[in-house]
Amino acid sequence: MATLCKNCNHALVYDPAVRKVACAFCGSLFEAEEVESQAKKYRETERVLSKEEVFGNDEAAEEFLEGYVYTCSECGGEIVLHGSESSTKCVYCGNPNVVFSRMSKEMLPDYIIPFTVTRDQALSSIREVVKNSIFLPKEVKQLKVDDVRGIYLPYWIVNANHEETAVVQIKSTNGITKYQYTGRTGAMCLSNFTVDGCQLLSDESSTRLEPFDLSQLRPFDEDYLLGFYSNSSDITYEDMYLAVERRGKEIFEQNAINDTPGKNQKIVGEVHETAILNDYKYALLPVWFVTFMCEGKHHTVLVNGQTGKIVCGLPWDKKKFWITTSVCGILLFLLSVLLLTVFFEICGIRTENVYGEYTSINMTERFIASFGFMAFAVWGLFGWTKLSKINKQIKLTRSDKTFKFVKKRQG
Amino acid sequence: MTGLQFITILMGPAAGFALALWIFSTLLEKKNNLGDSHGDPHFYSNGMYITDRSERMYPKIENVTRYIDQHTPKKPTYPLAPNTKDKVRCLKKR
Repeated sequence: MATLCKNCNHALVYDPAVRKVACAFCGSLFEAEEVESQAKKYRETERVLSKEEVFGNDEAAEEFLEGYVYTCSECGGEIVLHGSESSTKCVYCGNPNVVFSRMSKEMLPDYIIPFTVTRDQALSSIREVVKNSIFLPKEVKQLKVDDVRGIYLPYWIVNANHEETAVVQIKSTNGITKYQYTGRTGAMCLSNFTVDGCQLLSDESSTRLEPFDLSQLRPFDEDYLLGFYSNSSDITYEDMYLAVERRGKEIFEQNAINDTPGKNQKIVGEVHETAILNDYKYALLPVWFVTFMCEGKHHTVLVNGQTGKIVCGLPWDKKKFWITTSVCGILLFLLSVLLLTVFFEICGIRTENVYGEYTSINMTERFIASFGFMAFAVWGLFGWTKLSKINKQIKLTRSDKTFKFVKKRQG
Repeated sequence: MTGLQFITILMGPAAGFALALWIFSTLLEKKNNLGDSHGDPHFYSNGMYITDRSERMYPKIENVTRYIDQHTPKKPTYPLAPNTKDKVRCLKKR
């Protein structure tokens, strides 16, 4: 299952730096489409085995055998593939192996976008981000990378029509709160919309990798997988519909809100119809997964293997953050007292205190007492909302599901 | 200490703390929180084609429901991808 160099018979790997299939032993370079392999011919007649065909009806065997077992064509070592994996590395000899029988005609991708971001480029861009980050724990500043894996993720590229009728509520407060209602009916086409085809990876993570430049799609060739991991799609049609419907609704409703005048709008009622056209395509798209440890928890940073977009929420040192915020808060208060007093003094604005004295500092006290609570509430709410957003992204980065998706592979 | 001074000493630092929280959380979001966005909707659609607008509907639930009932989209009649619990399969076999 390893594709061999025709000059020296060593295993070939796809090199994103030169965008060709390369032999590390003799330095030969080949276009992926030029490489011939006897193993490729097998998959013309093969089909993917179902779980029942591998394990039979033996529930005990299914419980203990987590994966499908193949043999490395280089060293004869055991290769174990889990779930929907279709390419991996041999844990004994390190050679890449594409299991062609798991990519039979029925699940052969139509297209692929080869990796253009190399492993080193992905790591250096992450290190650059870490260097520019703030309030990082010491453990993360040193960034001891646990693992780096290039994985081709399965995506379905769909065209869909979305029709919706929505009622938008507009809230206006000019002393009295009033509500207005407007209706919007319309349609839109979604074209080349990407749907993550992997159940094991959360949609929240995979959608953040967008957008991929689909003009760079190439007809699929297995040799692009050499040296990388890959998965086949295992989602259902229902999953695909739900993903497209959710995004279609999101885009439509945002457009409907933008089309209505005023502020404080929200959708209070809607009905929609999403239809995926029968011309969807199947593609493998490249992603780097970089894992590291922090505070005893695994973190996984995703890097789009084509555009280099980094998806992660880096952890923050909470103690340092709150101490800095508190100290700066007090300094801001003292600064505001000084500036307000000077301002009122220059403008000659003074008020009387309980002792009958007219001073500008009394005016400062009244000002802060009057607006302090409102300022505290508004700024505090904004700040807390941002922190919640940051923590949500960190939760995704720390996701066990994503970590297991990456780690449960050979090599 | 007067009541006004007490409120000032209480609310002042609180407001300062809240402003500092907003500033630092904004910086934290900018520097530490990456890729928190989906693809721009313009990548996938050329915008919405509006077929009906109804401004200033009388704010009663019956009107809202009536509008939705009158403008419910029809099910398409052209060929569609299946919507079943089967695994998605490629369209053409090579």
